[in-house]
Amino acid sequence: MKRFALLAAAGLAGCTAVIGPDASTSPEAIYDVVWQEVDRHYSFFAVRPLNWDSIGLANRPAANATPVQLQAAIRRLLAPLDDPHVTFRTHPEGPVFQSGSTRAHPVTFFDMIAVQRYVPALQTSPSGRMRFGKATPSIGYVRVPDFGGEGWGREIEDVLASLGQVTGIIFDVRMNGGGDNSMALDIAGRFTDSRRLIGYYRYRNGTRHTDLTDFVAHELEPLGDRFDGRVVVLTDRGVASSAEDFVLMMRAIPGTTVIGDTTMGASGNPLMRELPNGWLFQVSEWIAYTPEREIVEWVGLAPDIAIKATQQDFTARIDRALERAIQELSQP
Amino acid sequence: VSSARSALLLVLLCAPGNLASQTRSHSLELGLSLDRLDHRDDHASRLRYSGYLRGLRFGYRTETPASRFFTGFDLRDGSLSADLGGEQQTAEGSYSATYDRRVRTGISVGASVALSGRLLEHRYAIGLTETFVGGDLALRPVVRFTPAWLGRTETRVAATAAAMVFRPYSRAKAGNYGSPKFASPSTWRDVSIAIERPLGATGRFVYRYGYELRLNSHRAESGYAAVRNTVYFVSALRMRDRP
Repeated sequence: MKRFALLAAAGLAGCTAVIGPDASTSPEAIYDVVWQEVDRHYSFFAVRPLNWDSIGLANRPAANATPVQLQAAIRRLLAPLDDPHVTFRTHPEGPVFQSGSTRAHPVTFFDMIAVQRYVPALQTSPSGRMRFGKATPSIGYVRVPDFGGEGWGREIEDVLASLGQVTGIIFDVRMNGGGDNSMALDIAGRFTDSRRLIGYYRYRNGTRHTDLTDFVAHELEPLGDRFDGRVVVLTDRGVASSAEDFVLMMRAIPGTTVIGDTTMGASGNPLMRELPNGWLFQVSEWIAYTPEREIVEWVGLAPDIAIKATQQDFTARIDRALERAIQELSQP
Repeated sequence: VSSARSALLLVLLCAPGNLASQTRSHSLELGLSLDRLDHRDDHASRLRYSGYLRGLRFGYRTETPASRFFTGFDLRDGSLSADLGGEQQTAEGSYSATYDRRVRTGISVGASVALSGRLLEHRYAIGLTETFVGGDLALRPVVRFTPAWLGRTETRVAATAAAMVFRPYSRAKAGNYGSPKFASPSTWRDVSIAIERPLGATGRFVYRYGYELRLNSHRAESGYAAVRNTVYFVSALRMRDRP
């Protein structure tokens, strides 16, 4: 038994020697970890070069102070990335700093109360994630405010069944900031009859800012019972991330029309990282492209029919994009 | 590479068929283990995560006074945590085959081939989860000591001589390690020492217990380092001996 105890003691003592000491939690060390992780993982350096060394050095002196000043230095470090998927928080439930927050919070004049003028009897799907109703006896309306959560995408079959015999569907994803793109795939899969290319991703995969994988195809696969009527997707500047994926999926399906405003152009898949003191931040680790290999980030996805909501419409509770969608689907 | 070649040569020279003339015992084994795992996997986090994994082992062992062959499956699962971090739900599985042959009194030398896989679901403090997978196929020279002065205690030492390492980045298509890469001891270090003693026997059942210390580190773009302390108990069902 003595031999067992000796070996176990050696094992526990050797722990630090093998794994290394715990990372320093000094302000400079925390700041340096953020800089290094972004330097190592951030994908958009490859297409939008920044002098990351200079940005890092410029803000580092201010990091060597109180936790509040360190947080400010980290925010200043991340701000030039102008990417809503780059975030930083000091507590899991605390406020979130978002780089590119001006882009992330656009004024769109979207108003759900105005929608109810056109779709008066809105119902809610079992998970509460989708609201739906009929704009006319033959036109269904489905509102998806976000793609957060998991496992509810297949409720679209219940929604379609509840809508009954409609010839057209309006998908309203305005102000949808994204979530889990498998929910978007679950919904869009009910509208395609075959596998379709919806875009490409390139992942950061090396230490150099230009190290990216080749183009990795992203495809939509048919799922369940297909709805074979016409579809309109309503978009605005608030459509981001997985919601932009959803727009890419739907516009790859023939017979789909996108109406509204250009989407946000916030497409980087975030990679979460932990700091040695427990703070959290995330960086984009891929670049999303359209099927034509055009970058989605900053540019967004333009609609087929552009209709931009105005403050006057908002005040008068008029939804011109929805009106146009109903008009489109009412035409034979 | 040369040590790997030597180990492989040793295995071929010591094939079980050469020992057919000796009395051979066979046993089926069922084991339970508890691992204390401390690791840092830079793919997931720079923090050190620690915790306990429960394990189950199924194995078959056949031996003569001069040689031993063991093959078995190991399954483990458990949860790791860090003081300031999230949680890592871990599941591991491995299949191994080990053959050794006595070269001197109390010393046997052989080799082990093991295929291991690991699934790690990292749950960040804000609730998001990310799944990491990894695995390796390793060739490990093994030395087993059973000198008289150690009584009935058996000591085994092993070190990886060569491995094919599969360690993709968080998303399988993203990394340079998306496909298995050859790793020599200069980048993939993996050594273990185990001591084992018999606990007793009832009828055809033989009981053993043991302790193993395993140290592992992988020096690559995103590093990995682990210390694993394992205590285990094995119940072996002896089957009829055959000449």
